[in-house]
Order: sequence, then structure tokens, then C-alpha cells
Amino acid sequence: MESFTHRHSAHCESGVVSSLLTYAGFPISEAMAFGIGNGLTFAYLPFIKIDGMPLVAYRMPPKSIIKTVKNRLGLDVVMKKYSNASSAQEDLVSLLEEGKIVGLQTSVFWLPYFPPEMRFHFNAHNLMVYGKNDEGFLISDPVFEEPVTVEFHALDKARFAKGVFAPKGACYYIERIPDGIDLAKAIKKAIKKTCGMMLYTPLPWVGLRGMRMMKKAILKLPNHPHKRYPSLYLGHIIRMQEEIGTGGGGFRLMYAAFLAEAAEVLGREELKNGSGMMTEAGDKWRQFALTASKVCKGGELIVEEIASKLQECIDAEEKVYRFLRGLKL
Amino acid sequence: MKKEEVPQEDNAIYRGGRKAVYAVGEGGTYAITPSSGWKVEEIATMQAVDEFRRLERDAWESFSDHRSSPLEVWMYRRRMTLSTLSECSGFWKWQVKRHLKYGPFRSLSSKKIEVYLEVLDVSLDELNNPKEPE
Repeated sequence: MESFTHRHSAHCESGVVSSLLTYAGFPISEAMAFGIGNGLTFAYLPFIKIDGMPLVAYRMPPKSIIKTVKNRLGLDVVMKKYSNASSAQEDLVSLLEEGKIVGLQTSVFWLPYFPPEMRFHFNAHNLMVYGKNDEGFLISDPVFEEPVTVEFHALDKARFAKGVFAPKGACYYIERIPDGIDLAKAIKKAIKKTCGMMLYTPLPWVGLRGMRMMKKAILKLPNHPHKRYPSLYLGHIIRMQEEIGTGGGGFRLMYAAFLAEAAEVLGREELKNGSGMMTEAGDKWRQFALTASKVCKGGELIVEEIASKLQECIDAEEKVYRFLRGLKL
Repeated sequence: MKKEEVPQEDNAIYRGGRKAVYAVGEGGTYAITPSSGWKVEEIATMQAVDEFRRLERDAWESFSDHRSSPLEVWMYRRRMTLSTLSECSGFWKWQVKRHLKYGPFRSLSSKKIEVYLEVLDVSLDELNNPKEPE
């Protein structure tokens, strides 16, 4: 086993998976973990409300990256939940004594090292505990530049926050990594699955169809009875795309990095073109956010312009997935 | 996004920290580039924060007039909405809605108050006497 080194990542879950695997002796980048974990998606679920706003997601639901990587690489991962904070803490201490690095699911709101303005009630944040001292647990939170120390009680509070996605003290660690992992096979499978989901999902809320649905909703914004709603709605989309650790452009740029790495592993130069196309899609999403933010700043409600920017994202994404499918990996 | 295009716009919210962003560097290879912030993101975050501040301020005024309970002030101060508070406390939405009113709140059992103290992480005295929002 190597000694543990903190790595600054874009996203919590893919960052934790990459760090845990690297520590366990299977070095893998965050982008690779995100890619083979099928992290990328798009979902627009108007019937699920978050603070009164429809659920917009640029990635798969919490825990899905860990579970997919585990199954695809055949890892032995232990996942636990607890009924109370004291037994969770005792168990964590004994795991650390065994020399394990432990991944935890926590709330964002109750983590003292998060800047106050970024604390919202999101219960599916991921971080790692790599030790403890007299003051508290030593935490490696992938979305922060440096490791931090969190006082024991504060971590309990974050691990046992209530509400949607309540973590219930959830923790996980890698028990064993099998020999002879076929990374190339995992990559091919993952790319095919993501493309299939984005292009051909039978559900109208997912993939390109979900994006089209969001576009329709944006065009209807001027009819909304509440004056502040359109601006808050667009701000909500931007936050889901840029604020919550996506690596920029709603995870699209991270996926482009994955495709570039996949080109090396598979020895398929064409995947580099795919990576370039995905970068274009990510950049279009950044343009879309920039245009939408003008409304949040108090500008005119330019829905036509925002919708046409979104259409460019949809077209750019359709192009990548069709191209990737055409490669017959 | 190219490495040199990664925004470095000092998002005040990060408190000097930086966020990892993916960008294409020299030779066309992807790498994580730390970003000190992007105005677009800062606007969206501050909008959400300000919305809670506005709701908190309204709740405080209505608490001063003995229309709302102090619970409503704390709910928004903790960045919760009616549904978040209902999910976290385990009470039904209609119950929470009632508890947000001045009168019904005052007759709450200490058992129910206990639940709110835990969820909001406040003392009884703090809950009953919220400070005026800044």
C-alpha cells in the first residue's frame, strides 16, 4: 500500500473513487472513474421539486458512480449504514486503526469547513477520512484544495443529517481489488451505455429528450405568474451545472478528459476526436450558463436567446454520441 | 475550454480557495486546472443565498408582529423550506405549516420542540428569541 495523498478533484464522488482506488494500488484518474462509472447523464424531472424548483441533473444519482465502478471492475467494496452516531464513530475509529481509508456520505450543510454561502441541504456529499488526532478526524474532501480536520461531533452531525438522501452514517471502503482487471473492456462498455442512454432512452425526462423538455420549459417562463420565478429558475439550472463540483460545463469537460484518456488505453486515435467534440459541447453549456446568468443579474428575460443556446448544446451532444456509437468499440 | 480560458474571477464565496475545473492544456491534453471562480456561478449562488435572506427577513418582520413563529425565522436562516423542514423533522407538512404560526407554536409540546432544536441545532432560548437578521 502507498501512503495516502490528497488529490484535488472536480466532483466529490468520482474524486473519492479515484483516490480510494489509487490508494488501494490501482491508480486511476478522476475522469476515468467518472467515465467507467457512467457518471454522465442529463435528467430534467419537473415532478420532483428541490426548494420549489424542478430537479435538474447533469450526472447520475448519488452512489451510482461507486456502485457502477465496483461492479464493472469487480471490486470488493464494503458499504455500511448505522442506526446511531456513537456506533458509527466507534466503527470508523477501528477501521482507521486497521489502516483503511474510509469514504463517507455526508450532508454539505453541517460541514464546518464549507464556506457559509455554499452550505445547502444536500445530503449526498462524499469525502474520505484518513486518520484522526486529538482535535478530530482528518478529512480529505476531494473538492477542496487541502485536507482539513473536522471536530468529532461536527462530523457526526453531517453524517446523521436528516431529510432526502439521509446518509444514515453511510460509509464504504475497498476490501480487495481483483487481479487482472480489464480496463479496456470496462471503458468500451461504459461508453456504449452512456451513448445509448443519452440518445435512446425511452423516458422523456432523460438524455437529449430531457434537454428538449427543459428547453420547452424555458420558453414558457414568461407566462409564469410569479415575477421572480424565471430568474430563480435559471439560477437554479446554472447552479446544478456549474456550482456543485462539475468540473465545468455540467461534467461535459470531465467526460471529454475521460474520452482522451480512453483513446490512449484503447489505442483508438478516433476517440480523441470524440473528446474534442465533447469539449465543444461543454463549452456550449458554459455559453448557455453565461447567457442565462444575464437574467439572474436583473436583465431582460431573453428566453428565445437562452433556448437557442440550449439548442446548440443539444446539437453538439447529439453529434458526439452518434460519433461514438459509430466507432463500434 | 482551454487552460488559459479558465476563469480566475475571485469568487468571494470561495474565501480564497480554488475549485478544480477541466481544461485543455498545452499539447491538447486535458488536466485539472484550479479556478478562483467564475462570475456566472457566483451570481447564481448569491441569488439562491439572497432568496433565503429575503425570506428570513420577511419571516422576522412577521414574527415581530406576532403573526409567524420564531420557527419560521430559523427555518429560513438554516436555508430550509417547508418541505426540507418537514423531511428533516419527520412532521407532516401541514403540521409544520401550523407550527410556523405564532399561536400554535406557543402551545407546542416540549417533545415536538426538542425535535426542532435537534434539527436546527439551536438551544431553546435561541429558538424562542431569534436575533434580527443583518
